[in-house]
Amino acid sequence: MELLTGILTSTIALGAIYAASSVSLALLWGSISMLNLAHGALIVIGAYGSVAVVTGLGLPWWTGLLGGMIAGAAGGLLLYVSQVRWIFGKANFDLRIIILTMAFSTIVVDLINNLIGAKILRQPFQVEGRFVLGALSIGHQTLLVVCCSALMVLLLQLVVHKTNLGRLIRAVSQDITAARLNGVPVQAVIFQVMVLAGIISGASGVLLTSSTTVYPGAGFDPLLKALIVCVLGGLGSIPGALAASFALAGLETTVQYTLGVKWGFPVSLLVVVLVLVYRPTGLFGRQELERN
Amino acid sequence: MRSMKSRDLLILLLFVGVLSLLPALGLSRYVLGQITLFILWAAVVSQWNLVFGVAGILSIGHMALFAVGGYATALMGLYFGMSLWWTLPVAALAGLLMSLVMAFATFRLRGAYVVVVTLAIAMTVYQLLVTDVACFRQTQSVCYSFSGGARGLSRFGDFGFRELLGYSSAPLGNFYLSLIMLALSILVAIMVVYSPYGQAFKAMRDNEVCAASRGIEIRKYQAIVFAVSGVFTGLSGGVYAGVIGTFGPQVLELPTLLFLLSMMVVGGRGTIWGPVVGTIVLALIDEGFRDLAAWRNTAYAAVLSIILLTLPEGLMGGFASLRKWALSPRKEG
Amino acid sequence: MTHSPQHLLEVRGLTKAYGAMKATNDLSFHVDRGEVLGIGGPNGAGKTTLFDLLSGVTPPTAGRILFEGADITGLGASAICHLGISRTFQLNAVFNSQTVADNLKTCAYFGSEKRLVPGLSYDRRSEIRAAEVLDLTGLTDYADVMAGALPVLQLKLLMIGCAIVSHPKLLLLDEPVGGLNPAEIETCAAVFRQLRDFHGTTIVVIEHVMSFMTAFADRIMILHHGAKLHEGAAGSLADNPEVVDVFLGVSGAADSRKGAQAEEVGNATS
Repeated sequence: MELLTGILTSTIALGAIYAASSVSLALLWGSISMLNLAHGALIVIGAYGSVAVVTGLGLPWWTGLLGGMIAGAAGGLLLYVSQVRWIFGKANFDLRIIILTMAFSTIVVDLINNLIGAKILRQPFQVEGRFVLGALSIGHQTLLVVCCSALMVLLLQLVVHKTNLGRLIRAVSQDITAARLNGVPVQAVIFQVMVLAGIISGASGVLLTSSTTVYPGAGFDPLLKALIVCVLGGLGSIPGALAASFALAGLETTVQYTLGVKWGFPVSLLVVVLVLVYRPTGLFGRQELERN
Repeated sequence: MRSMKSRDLLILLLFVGVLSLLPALGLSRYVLGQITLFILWAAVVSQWNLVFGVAGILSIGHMALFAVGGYATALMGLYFGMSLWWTLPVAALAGLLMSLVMAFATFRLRGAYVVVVTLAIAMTVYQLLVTDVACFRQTQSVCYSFSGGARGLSRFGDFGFRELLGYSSAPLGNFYLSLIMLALSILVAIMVVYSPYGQAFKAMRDNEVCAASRGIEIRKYQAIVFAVSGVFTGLSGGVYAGVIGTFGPQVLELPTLLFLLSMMVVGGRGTIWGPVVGTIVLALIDEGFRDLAAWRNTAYAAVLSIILLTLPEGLMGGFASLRKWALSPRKEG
Repeated sequence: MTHSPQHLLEVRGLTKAYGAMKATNDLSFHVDRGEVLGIGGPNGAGKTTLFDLLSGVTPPTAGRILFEGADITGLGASAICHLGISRTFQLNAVFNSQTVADNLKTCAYFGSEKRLVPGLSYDRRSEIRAAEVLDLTGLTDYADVMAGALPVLQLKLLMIGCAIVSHPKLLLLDEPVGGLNPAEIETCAAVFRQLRDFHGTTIVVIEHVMSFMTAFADRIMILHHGAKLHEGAAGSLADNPEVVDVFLGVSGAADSRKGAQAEEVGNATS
């Protein structure tokens, strides 16, 4: 029983974090077909943003999330200005952006290493205490992370489905030429999408590192997990990313509780690969009609 | 097509000939070592290019094939005391097996899905290596794990050039062995690209549905291109381990991946000489930034970004457009 | 040419469903050796889907496909190609990064039989076949041009050439002359007549250009919503009021009559 509740609460906590961090990738792929390998860099930027605001400026702990969002937005802006705007819609965009975003991450990690230092910092976005109800005992921190993640995902869904920006994003994602011909300011939409993705990545960086630590390479592992979550869910599908987040979190925690921590990721990857063998576009991916 | 093949074979002969004369310039030990290293990288990238560039399968986890080859050589040298020459076939076999794993995992996947899954496989290998801390062998007070963990392996033997040529000339042996590896790698690439196999790979890349309708069995040729590339990439890994003398999980880290991937893309993927040109250019850039120390990666990544932002088809594509522009008749005034 | 009692191609109850939408709906028809069957119908009638099913690009939901009496339902595209069914595609479907000659050699080499272990160079037969097709399609001058850089007529001819270089028994042409002007259409039609008359190739052709179709096809089948709306001799098309209604229109009907008459005149003079 204790094992089961342990697995269950870990799954929910981990799944929420995965969800928060993978929806940003899904948003970028779904709207502008961009595989953002700088996602890890944005996560780290967000984590350091929180540290800067709370530890640096001495503001209350909860402003850390806002700090992460602002830093992430700046990161997304930088990514747009330095790379995306120059090559979007040009030859080999999909491939070039993969390598360019990798280069972007290298630069970000290097900058942090050189300017701030490689030492491991504590994420100040933390609350103490536990919530106890019978046999169930959940840390306030876990509850906080789950609530923030849920709120973020909900807000993103609202933006995509209820706002004017969301309408434009969907227009761009369906047919970029048609969108342009119909007067959609494509570059402006991409700019806003990048900033939005930056905000989400940054905030998820704060949430992610609140249970671990902040260091220059802290974004890599979450990037890899978010990528795996997104391919399992179907690249570009936000509902897919959400479902895959909890499925993978459940699998990973179960494996970690039973086989050992080390095997969590390898086993989930194996399962994802096997799923993809049968469903090559993921669980919720668009099953394209194969036409020439 | 035949004349193109002869042309490329001739270039290969000249290229290897020129490289083989380099030691006569009286290069320092450091420079010769760096050249040897980049020659091996070029051998890897030429093989990676068969999968990534020629067949259009966007596998970016290719360093995993290299890593298993290197580990095969290092582990067998370490635990069985085998001459590293005898471990090379095993390195090639290890590369082959790993490449078939990649091929199986990506059979039905396309585009970004291939990128993600291959990257994830390589990173899983990396994670399994660095988290391998269980005590396997004890030397005096120090305990080593089976794979050497994050530190990697060392002192597993070499190719015997020191005994054969003496201490001061041993690097020459390593240099020429690496050069042979590169020549072999490019030769295989040329033979493949200009054979029906290469045509089938390109056909798959250009239009998969059409290729299947013209009788090309897609999965079979996906597996073949992975297998060929796996054998020679694994072999390169084995040679690398013996030449460098240490082998660790660092070859799987992101900076190495980015470095090698950009050699291919900066040069021009899908062409025979693109990877070689890319390696030369990036080697020069990398050495040029040596003095920048901590800022080296940043400078390197920045230059890489500029090249990628300006040249969509890489340097070879850039040359081609430049030549076209220079040869095309221009309007007066 | 051997005459077996069965039809060359026989299709029974073929159905392809995408969710609730049936792109091909319980379709049955046959093609005899040496004949030309034209397939027409409005956009979205399921013509290309039918070719995708026949050529193994997509598996059918239900129904059977018999080729030379053998069941080929569910075989993959390459296996079907090796059995002797070759198709063209509507859109640009050549190997852009290969020259015209290499395109043809590749298609000849891999298309004519299953290559268990391909050699390191093309065999003599593939080279000869490629040269023959270069000649037949008039592409000899373009042999060393990259396929991606071809003008539209030459591109169409190369697509046809790639499909015929493996010497198929059954050729499926998907809108082979769409987008061409009358002179260009005549260039392509000459190639098709050559195939039919001298190589005995059986042809199924999808086309919107009705004058071409009625002049070239022996029989015509009209599809609508994935099902058969009409099947009959080429000249009979405009007489079916349903066909005129959904597909031809009044001027189209006149056009189709003209095409059929032209063919009769052509036959009489030859």
